[in-house]
Amino acid sequence: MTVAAKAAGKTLAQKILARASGRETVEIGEVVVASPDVFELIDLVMPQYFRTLAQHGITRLRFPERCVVFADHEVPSHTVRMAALKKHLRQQMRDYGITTFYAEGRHGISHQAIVEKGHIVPGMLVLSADTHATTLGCVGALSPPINYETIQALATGDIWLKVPQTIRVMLTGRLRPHVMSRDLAQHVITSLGTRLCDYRVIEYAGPAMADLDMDARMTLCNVAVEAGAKAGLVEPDALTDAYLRPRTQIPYELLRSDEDAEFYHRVTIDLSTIEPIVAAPPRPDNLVAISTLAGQRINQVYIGSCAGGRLEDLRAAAEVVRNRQVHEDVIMLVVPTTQETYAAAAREGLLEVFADAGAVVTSPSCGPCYGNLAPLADGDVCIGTGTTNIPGRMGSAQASIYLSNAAVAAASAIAGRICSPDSLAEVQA
Amino acid sequence: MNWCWQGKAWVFGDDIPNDDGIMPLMMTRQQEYDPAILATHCFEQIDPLFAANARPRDVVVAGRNFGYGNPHIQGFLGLKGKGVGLVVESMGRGPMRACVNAGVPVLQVEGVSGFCQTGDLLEVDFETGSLHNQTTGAVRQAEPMPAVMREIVAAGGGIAHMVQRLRGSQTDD
Repeated sequence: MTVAAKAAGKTLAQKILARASGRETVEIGEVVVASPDVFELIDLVMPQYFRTLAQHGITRLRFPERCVVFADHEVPSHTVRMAALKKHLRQQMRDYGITTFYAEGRHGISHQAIVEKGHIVPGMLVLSADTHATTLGCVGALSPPINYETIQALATGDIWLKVPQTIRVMLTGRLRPHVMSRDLAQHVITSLGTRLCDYRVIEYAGPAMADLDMDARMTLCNVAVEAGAKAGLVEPDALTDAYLRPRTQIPYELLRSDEDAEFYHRVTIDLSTIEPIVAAPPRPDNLVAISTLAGQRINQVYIGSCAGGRLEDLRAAAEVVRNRQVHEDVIMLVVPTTQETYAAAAREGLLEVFADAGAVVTSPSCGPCYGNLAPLADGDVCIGTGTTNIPGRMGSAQASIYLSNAAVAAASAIAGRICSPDSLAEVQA
Repeated sequence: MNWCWQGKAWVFGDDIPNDDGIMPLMMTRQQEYDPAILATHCFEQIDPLFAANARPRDVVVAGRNFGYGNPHIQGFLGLKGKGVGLVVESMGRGPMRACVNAGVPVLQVEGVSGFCQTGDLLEVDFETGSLHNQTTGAVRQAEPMPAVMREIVAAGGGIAHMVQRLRGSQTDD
């Protein structure tokens, strides 16, 4: 280790992992044992996790007060099997001392709801049982998904983590009309590529961030995991502060990377160059121009998930379908990401627009993006804002899933085939 | 633990997803965690012969980006249930952690595609990173498995490792 390297500034990920592992500083590449500030947990897996702990004679969690649990994957239960699985969840949580549970009715997809409910602030380390926890980077918290390893971390209160390298993405300029944060997020993971993103943090900063609200920031950090990133991060700023102030009592500072930190890679993206784009099967980074898909028939449209059922998505979709009718061959599903989003959409009259257009609006849940609500059958073709288009994700592995922003998905619902909002008038003519 | 494995190679290509590749996503939806049950479903959508014919200490050899997508544990618990090891060209962070957590030994070996065919007899040393194709005589040297990962696999997986740690700390008290 050279003197110069030691003197260099630190990335936000380094600062967070140093504090969480009780160290002054940590170096990129070293393995640390860190203790999280929050455990983000979901009702789907917790019954099994509690059973596994009990089977091994573990009757206490190390930090039950740090656990926040959400009902999200199947809300309400669709099957007797799921109802039975969750039947004893409340008692299990009581037995293990967990008191923070957002049950059916107060719920939402965990990765958005936990931020809305004020549990996450800049500089935190969060461990999550679910994959798209990278979303929590929207407020400058490091949130690597650890999935099944959560069982051990709950018992021991810590986990081994490698201090990751950081890719710094500087955003400049402004998005053009009908271009959404989803397009930007897809563009970033595809242009960087999985080889570059794997095991690294994608950190967003730059002058354009002032125009990207919390919905957009959640999407940027959410999609990062699809490129294999360990976490997504947005540099906390005045917008972060304004968002969090009314939501949380937890003290925080706007912790950031130092300008002279050791970034593995730096890239600058001018937002005005981004266009609406579609990810074709079989992977989220398989981007193709909408024009090349013109005429591709679809029979299901999905606005929802932790990647795309936020207010910005519902507003964009409603703007497209307002005073129009969903194509007779298409089922259009709208699933607000959280109860907060659902209520806000109701107040704005968006749910009425969807119902009038012939769309189905359902309770917040992971639902279609987990393939347990409105599953696709063999040969079905869906376009939507789900997290991934890996075959089988939304039901049959013989169905095709296209990913797009909410406006493109909504326009496709009207046309019955993939099309952009701009070309909707001519398609319908 | 004996890190030097001998067994038959089961060769898969690039971009085998975790869900509906290694394991039907239905097993996750049903919240199945029993390695013995999951073992009977390994690769069933892409190689229906695997689950019936793979034997303990056989080695799955796969290409780039193995197990991509959501790192649901069921796929790797299935491999653990079969008792097989894993050699891949590359594998993302999520599936790598899930693999080690399930207790499956793994090596990442650049250019391993083409090193062997299904049915070749392999010798793989996960501790030293050496590979020997006993059918063709080819040899290869790769990075060994990091110690932090071997410790977890040697314990039998993340949960067994946790139990060891907690018992150790109780003894220390």
